[in-house]
Amino acid sequence: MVSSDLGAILTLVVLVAFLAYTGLRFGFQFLVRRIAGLIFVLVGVTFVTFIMGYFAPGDAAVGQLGIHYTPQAAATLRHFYGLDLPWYEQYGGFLNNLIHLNLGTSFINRDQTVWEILQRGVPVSMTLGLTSLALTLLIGVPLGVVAAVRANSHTDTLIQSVSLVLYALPSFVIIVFFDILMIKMQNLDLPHLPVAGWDLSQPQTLIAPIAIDALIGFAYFTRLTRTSMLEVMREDYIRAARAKGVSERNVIYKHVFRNAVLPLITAIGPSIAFLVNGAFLVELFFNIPGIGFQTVQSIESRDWPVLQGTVIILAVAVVLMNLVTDMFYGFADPRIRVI
Amino acid sequence: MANLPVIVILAVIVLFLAFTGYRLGIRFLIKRVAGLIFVLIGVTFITFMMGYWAPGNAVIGQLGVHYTPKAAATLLHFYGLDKPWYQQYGDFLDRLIHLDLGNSYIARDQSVWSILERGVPISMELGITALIITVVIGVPLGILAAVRANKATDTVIQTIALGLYAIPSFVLIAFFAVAMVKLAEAGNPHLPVSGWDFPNPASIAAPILITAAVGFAYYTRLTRTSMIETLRQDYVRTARAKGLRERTVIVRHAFRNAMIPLVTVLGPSIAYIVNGLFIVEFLFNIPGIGFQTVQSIEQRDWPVLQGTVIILAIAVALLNLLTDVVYGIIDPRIKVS
Repeated sequence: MVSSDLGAILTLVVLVAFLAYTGLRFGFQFLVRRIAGLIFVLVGVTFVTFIMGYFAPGDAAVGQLGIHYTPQAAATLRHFYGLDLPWYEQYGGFLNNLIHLNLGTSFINRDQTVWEILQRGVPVSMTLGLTSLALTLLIGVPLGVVAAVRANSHTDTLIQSVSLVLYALPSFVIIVFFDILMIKMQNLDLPHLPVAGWDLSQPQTLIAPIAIDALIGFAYFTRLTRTSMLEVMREDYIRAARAKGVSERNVIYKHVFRNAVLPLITAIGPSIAFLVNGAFLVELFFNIPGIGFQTVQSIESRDWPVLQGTVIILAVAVVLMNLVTDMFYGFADPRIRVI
Repeated sequence: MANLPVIVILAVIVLFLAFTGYRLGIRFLIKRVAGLIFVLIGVTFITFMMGYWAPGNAVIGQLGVHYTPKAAATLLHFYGLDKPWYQQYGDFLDRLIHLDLGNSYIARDQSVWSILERGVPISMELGITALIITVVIGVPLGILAAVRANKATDTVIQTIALGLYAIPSFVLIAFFAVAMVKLAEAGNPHLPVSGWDFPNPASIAAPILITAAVGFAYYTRLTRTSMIETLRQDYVRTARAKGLRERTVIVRHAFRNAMIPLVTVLGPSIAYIVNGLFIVEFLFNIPGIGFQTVQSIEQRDWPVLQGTVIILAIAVALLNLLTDVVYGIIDPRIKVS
């Protein structure tokens, strides 16, 4: 059941264009290696998720028949579903379905296919993830630059301490604190942000999750930027630039920052992958129907097809983002010919 | 409360600070201690505010059916809950310094300290072992991947690491639980899905491995990138030209320098492990500090929550300081002043 949805087609086109470009820029061998890696991961992940669904307690046929259960009816239904085939044949069928983008039907909501369910969740998670990542970087990186430029001054200590406080507090404690704060402000009739829900037509519901997600994560990037910039600032070519008479601002931005950005890119890659994963804590606490939320829910309700779907999407996203990161790294650093 | 473990820990911290001052200079030490104190104030303030603003009233809960406004007022006064917030915060800090974290709201006969005392060692066992395994597995794999960069070995290692990294820990745990149930049904030997019996390997294997699984991919990748960078450096080429064996070049020259970013990342790793602990302890029913934190949120047991958050935040802050110090020591080029 291939979804003729515009979004899916667009994504596929972008994907193919991206792969073609990779092959052209970095060499065919590189592309083949990466695709092999992707397939390897997919096979591994699909196999593991299939095995889990296979072993999972509970029986699709029994569950579906409910009160109409008779052993004969169950056997017929199982045969119809192909559940009485040997496991390797079932796995083959599973893979075949996958290729046709058929992820099956949810056990719990029998009228919805897994694909439909995920289709609702992925855009939400990506919106949340992308905007909060952008915000995280917007806050974290400049702070890191400032901290590095004024290293060991009071500004530096202040920035490091504040970000450390936010970093040291466990993430859901920050969320709980925010909830309590909002409830208190509500009691005092002060303007407040909603503590749950995600409605694109009501921007105020979006502010809190994005802001909190960014608050939780920015300290890491501040620290990374600071360390990376300090490393680069010690290099000889920086001293040469200063000796040449380049203005300090140009030294910082055009020379130091450009080189310091590389470790940042390596760090951002995994973060992007988790956009699809969904910051599941934020989604859980704020009741945001993204993919992270769906993953947790599918575990709680033992909805194995949905769980399989989310894990597969996750794995694909991570591997792809890994590839993208490596490619960006290849762009940013011309010394790297093959990654 | 003067008991032995606390005194030992405090002594270690003081010694560490003294060593830092000696090795990296007094000014560095003062700046870092100031930063640490700032962090402590920030964390304690936030946790205090959380308890202060939390809906529900300690007194109402305690009085129960015996509630009268007058009794409530007396009890509030007795607890000091009718003082202005800055005074309450002051009292809070004062008690903290005496290591008095108050009593649990839920289990009124137990002090928060005694509850945490039980949880911290367990979490430390889990967390530290997981971290050790992460490093012991991740770093050598990263070196291997770097040395054989872009060959088959490299791709395999990277994709396995990536696969484990992609799957959230609670999904791994769900899979593990299902597998164990299946094994148990078939009468096969299997690992327990809950409980913590240190150092019994059967009991601790699963939680530790799952906690480690998420982190090791990160270490592998970082080591690999760092090693590749280092192996490109001129001094490595010099070492090879000198005629040194490849193994010596890799281990004694390249790795020593590549290790530096790894050390920097140890601090954030601790934070990462702490956050991972919540999920693992909760799903494996391990009575550590993560589990207690989650439980205290569910039960609205604010004193316990404050206690756990303070301990965790202090641990992360201290370990970050440790990372900075080690970084300053390892790389002699860094002049920290």
